[in-house]
Amino acid sequence: MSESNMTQPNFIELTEAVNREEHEFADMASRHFKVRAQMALENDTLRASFRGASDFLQAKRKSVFPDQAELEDLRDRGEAARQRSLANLPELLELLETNLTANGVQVHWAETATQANQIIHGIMAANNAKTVVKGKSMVSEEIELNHYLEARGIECLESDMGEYLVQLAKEAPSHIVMPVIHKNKQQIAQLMHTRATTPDGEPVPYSEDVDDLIGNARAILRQKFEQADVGVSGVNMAIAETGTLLLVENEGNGRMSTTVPPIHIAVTGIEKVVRSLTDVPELLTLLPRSATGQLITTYVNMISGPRKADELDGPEQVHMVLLDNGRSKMFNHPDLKPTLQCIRCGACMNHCPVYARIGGHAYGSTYPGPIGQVVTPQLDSAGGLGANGDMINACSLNGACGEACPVRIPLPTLIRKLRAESVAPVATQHDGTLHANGAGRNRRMKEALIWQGWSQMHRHPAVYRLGTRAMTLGRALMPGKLAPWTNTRSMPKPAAKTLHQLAREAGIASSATSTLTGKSTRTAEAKS
Amino acid sequence: MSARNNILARLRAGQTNQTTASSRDELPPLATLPEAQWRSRFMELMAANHADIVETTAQSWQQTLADELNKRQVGSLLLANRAETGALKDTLAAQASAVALQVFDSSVEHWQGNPGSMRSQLFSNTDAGLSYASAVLAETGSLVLETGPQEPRTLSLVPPLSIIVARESDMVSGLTDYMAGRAGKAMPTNLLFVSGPSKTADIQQTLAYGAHGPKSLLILWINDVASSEEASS
Repeated sequence: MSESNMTQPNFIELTEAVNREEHEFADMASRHFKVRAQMALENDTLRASFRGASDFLQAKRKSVFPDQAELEDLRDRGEAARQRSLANLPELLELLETNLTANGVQVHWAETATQANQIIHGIMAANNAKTVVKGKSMVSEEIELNHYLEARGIECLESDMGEYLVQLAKEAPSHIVMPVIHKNKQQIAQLMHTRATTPDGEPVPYSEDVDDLIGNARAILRQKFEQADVGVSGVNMAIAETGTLLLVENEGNGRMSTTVPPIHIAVTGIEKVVRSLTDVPELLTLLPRSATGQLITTYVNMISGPRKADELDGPEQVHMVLLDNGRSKMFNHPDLKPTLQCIRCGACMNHCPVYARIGGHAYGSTYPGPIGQVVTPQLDSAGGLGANGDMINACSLNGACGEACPVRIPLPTLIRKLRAESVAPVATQHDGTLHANGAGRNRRMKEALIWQGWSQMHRHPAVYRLGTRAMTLGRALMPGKLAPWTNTRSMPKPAAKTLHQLAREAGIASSATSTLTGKSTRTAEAKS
Repeated sequence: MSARNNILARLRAGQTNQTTASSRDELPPLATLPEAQWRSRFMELMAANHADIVETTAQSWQQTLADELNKRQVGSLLLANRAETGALKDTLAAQASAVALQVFDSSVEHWQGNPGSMRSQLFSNTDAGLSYASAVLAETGSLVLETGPQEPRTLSLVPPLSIIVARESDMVSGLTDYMAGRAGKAMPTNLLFVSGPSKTADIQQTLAYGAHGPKSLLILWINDVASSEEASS
């Protein structure tokens, strides 16, 4: 009857269940955005996972920001700290390069995702390296490093617990901070049992106990850390004056990846640089609080070079790959520039009601949620609005992301502008627009005509009155269904009388032409 | 070099095209925790993060360490090669004779003249590592480790039990003061803030300790500041 009555779960059945999930993910990934969103909405397990995670993360964040005034002050500081860095970005990057080089870190620049992959593969080939363990790095997801290296015979193993599980499932992260929040522990138990093998080569024993699951993954990954040729990591902040790479994490896999293998390759976007150590406290105060509701992560690791001559451990080579991939284009645009303030905490997605319902995979992009909606069309490797034009409609314009953002990126405004641009006629695109590749791609002639009609009607009172009058008189003739509106809603019925009629009857306006008079009367009343 | 120059050229073009972002340097520095609360805040946060704190003194901490090793039935302990290590080894050999002692005194690749042995020794046969904090941050409950020949990076990372010696006299309010105090000083290879044992909440937001790093963190807290209570008693 209940699952607890069953003895050992059937390995073949569980394998089928896990394979089915992999197939569902691949199927979903191949679909159009609207279908993906629909599939996510119909998946009760998925919805429960995201609802649970969103509620949990919102409550955690709230608990570490008990004082609203203090939070607003911190957000001012976070925004200011990031803007200070961006205001001097080229100088800071040069300073960073100089100081990293002086510390013995080799600096590489990549304009595109492909260049970054080539650089990383080149370092590996030059050192005859065959295996990689990765700490968590969203930029490595952005450039699809695993695919690139695996196609060249290199084993790439994710070591962040969430990333490891996502890789085992042959899926993609559904959240930038908590990659596997779309799965519950039963699903993860099945996944570990059917796809992971212990260091002795046996299937991992079935268990839904989280300590067991983590313990088993720990044993498998420890062996990999010990043996890997290269560790790849991201960077949360790069400190220009000291030539330092700062990484935050709780698990210790970031420290493992950057400490145990003989070569460490860090990959990050060019926007992550700050000037000095004194720029760190404000951002480090905001990042873990906004992300996971922690005052600080278990580890903050500031790496300032490879192993020195008298040191006994640590990598012999440290490389830093600085990626552009559209960031300098965003930097050049006054509206988009604040996007580069992002510290990748994920608070915007944790507070987004749309993300909480459709989940990260529906967006189909490396960065989901509000920040993903703004950043993705700008990334050179992501195909602009042409490839991502639908996801920007996944927004109810509620503004929660803008209120949650620790560095005050005006996400709601940017999403609204992108939406406007996606339906604007191409001829009206000018320098002031966000000029995302593929602007105008959502423009539909029928929709454009409807809005033109709406606009005309509201500019001509006679037409407006005629229109509203016709609606009230013909209300019985309205169709019962008007797809796609009525697919998920009931058909609204026009009122029996127009607002103007009701106003006249109530004595607010004496005639149809006196709307302006009425208004001024009310203003006068308000003043008196 | 061309990718570098292209990126920098694009950024410079953008810089001249727009007004410089408003700097808010005029903001006052972040408020810091009053000194009277440092100790209690640190203890509270470390306890919440599942670290064990054992209070001791500058004279007796080696004995406290021996007692803790015995109590926890630690089989092997890795020590850094520091000035006090010789004396510490003698104390432990006498007071915790069941614990196998190792000293991290040659590179991880050629440990004790045996290529490749240290890594597997570290990963498979070392129960605990002993580290020394160079500073303590009260506001976030963090211990500062500066890696180098006397504080190898793996020492506080790979063994399942990380033991860190910390002195109350090394405590500062938090990140802001610590970073300001570091300005202009040389950075160690790794500057680490450790705020508990390794952990993860990646599976269904359920917290589990011992993700990849130490499963337990033991802090030997040296009370070397005369507290107000002690002074009054």
